[in-house]
Amino acid sequence: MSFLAITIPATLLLAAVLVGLLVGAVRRGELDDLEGPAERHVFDDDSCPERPSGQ
Amino acid sequence: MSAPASAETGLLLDGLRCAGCVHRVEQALRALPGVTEAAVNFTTHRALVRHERARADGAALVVCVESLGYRATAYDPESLDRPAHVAARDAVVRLMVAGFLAGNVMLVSLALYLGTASMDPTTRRALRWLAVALSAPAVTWCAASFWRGAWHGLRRRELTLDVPVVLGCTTAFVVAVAGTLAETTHVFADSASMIVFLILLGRTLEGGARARAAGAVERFVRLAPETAQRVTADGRETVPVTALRVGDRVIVAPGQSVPADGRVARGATELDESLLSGESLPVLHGPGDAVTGGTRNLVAEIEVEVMATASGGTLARIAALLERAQAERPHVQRVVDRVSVWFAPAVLIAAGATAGVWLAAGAAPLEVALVAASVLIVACPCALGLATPVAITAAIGRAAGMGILFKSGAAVERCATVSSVLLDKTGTLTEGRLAVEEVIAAEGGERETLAAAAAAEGASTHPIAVAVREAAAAAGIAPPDARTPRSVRVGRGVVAGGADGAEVILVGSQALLEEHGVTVGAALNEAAGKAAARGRSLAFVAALRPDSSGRTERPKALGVLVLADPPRPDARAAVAALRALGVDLALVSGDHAAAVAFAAARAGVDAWSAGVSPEGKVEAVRARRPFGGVLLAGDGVNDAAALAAADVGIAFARGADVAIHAADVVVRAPRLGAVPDALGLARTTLRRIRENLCVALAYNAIAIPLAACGVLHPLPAAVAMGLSSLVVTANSVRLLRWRPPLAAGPGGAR
Repeated sequence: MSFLAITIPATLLLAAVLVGLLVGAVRRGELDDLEGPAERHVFDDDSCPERPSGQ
Repeated sequence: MSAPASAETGLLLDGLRCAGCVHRVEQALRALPGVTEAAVNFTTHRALVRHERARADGAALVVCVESLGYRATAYDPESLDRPAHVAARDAVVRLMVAGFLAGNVMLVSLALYLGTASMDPTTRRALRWLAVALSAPAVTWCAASFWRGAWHGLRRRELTLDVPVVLGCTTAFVVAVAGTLAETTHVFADSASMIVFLILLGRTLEGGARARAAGAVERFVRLAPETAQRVTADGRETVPVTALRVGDRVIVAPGQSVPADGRVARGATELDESLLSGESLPVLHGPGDAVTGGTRNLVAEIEVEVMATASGGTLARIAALLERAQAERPHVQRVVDRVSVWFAPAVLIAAGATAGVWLAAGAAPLEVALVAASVLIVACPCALGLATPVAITAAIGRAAGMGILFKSGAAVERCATVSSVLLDKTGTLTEGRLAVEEVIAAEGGERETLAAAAAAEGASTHPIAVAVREAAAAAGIAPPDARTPRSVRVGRGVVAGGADGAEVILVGSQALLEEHGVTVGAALNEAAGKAAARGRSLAFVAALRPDSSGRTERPKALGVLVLADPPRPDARAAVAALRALGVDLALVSGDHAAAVAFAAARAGVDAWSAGVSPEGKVEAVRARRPFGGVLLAGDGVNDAAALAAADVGIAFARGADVAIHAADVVVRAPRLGAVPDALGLARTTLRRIRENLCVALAYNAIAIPLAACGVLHPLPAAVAMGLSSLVVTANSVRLLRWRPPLAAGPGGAR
């Protein structure tokens, strides 16, 4: 079963890269608000200020 | 300028986990020299501290709270959002990593369980070490919040759900390491990371749903610039409201809000006080009259002499009342907390008893340790940890779909136990605006009266003008010519037309008509008197027509418009639905008795009280609390403190900002039916939570005895654990399809 010595580390590495990408997306705030952007255009009157950026 | 000796400081707290934390922070703050009172609000994670500045300042309070292991920020609204944001992102990252680890450990374990016969010892050992290595970060870094929670809980001698979680995953990890070293038959390698992942998933879901609803609420708060036009020696200047001093003169233009409590120094106008006092009709204010900060000027520019600064005025008094009501709200223990109090000891006793029996039966110490450990592992409350969060998440999501925004999960649970409901009148039971209810015609027909009134009111933004325009449009009357000259007589009405020999139209009070020599007929007078007695507002309409010779005809009143704040179209149905839910119902309003009585009768509410102050509303909530949970629905500034004091406060998105802030639930749609809907959904949610807890405990009731007898193979144990979590989730997801029961009667159409 020596093939496992290559395939397991390889898949783990691949998965780790994917998790790393997702973590990066979270850290950049891409997943902070999953609903807001979809609804923002409904509320885009002048009385509704844009969320301050850079948080 | 010397600081006042006694001050109130708000603290934003981070790391509160349960009622025990609340108690601990309060005790520590009260023990501080110079602190006279401290109350911690668990729902908003805020503390309200009354203290002497000289002996304990804000920094001392923060240091005191932080020495207990919590983080505190002296209260500042600007910083409210940030901690939650950072915490939410961190939770998602840990959840993702836990999911990655759990998934891989699960695959490796599956190979170990199913392929034991054909696997050579070296591969088996390697796979076991791999599982252990992948589990290590899961039980440490990913599970950090459980460790922290368990540690804080134990230091207070309190058993939160974190304790059995930590106990289960740690035992599973230790057994995996020991089993790998000692080459035992089973290693339970998958349990540790699976437990961490499932419970993190539940908590992150609930946190996310709560944050989404709260974020949606933020959008309704209009950030009005809090400035005022101050009169100076050489004109006007714009200053922040906080800079106003007693004696300053400020100009309030039509459409603006009065910036502070004061007295009218020049001019006269009508003010909209509906959000502040519940008074549904515009109120006339002339020179010398007192005006309240926060009321809206409707008609003409006035000059106001400031009598109280922003921190001493009516709005500040209501804000202080609100803070106190929020901080003093009794904490209701959540359902799952009540279970977790006895769950952890029960599991420990079961494990201890198992070890005792096996030792007494003469088993080897290693075998005894393994069996006792397996009891701890299978008892780990995965489904128990999911039972509440998943149901709450589904409920918050379903409610949002109906335009009902729950700000917290605890609010859903509190809403389920409500036994009395208090409704505000203006803006809650009614639409909070004037509408033409009836046209009583005398000389002219109804249509002619309405058309004349519409022509006279033109494009004015006065509530009566808006109502007349709507009624005219509904009757198919063409919009009036905006160029007709008109003059507004404050508190009396409007005089329009008269240019180039055109007719002059009067719309307003009887006094305005008499001023122009118009007489009101006896029949009309009697009908109008009856309407006024019902709390209605009247607008008489008259036309002065010059005849061919230029002289005015004998003037007569055309008719009278009866104006009222109309009940919401679904008010009756909503009241019926609330009755069907078996709650005690009452109307509490700051408006006059006649208007309240009529609105109550029309909506079918028997109990009502009128002229109630903001303090009175808080008192009404307190008086009903001994009989069960109290729900208050309101929209005004005067409701804010009572909204916070109630177990559940429901505010309408079109109401005052402070009411939206104070409420637990914000209703987006202008629909009173949202109140019974919220109640019904919350009750169903609580039932689901209880069912979920039963499923979770049933799993334990079966798995623990099997593990104690040493006959439970780790693979079926893992499958059963996943299955019970799945059942709990599926049961909760049913809430997404929840529909309000069909209201009784034809009025129930929605």
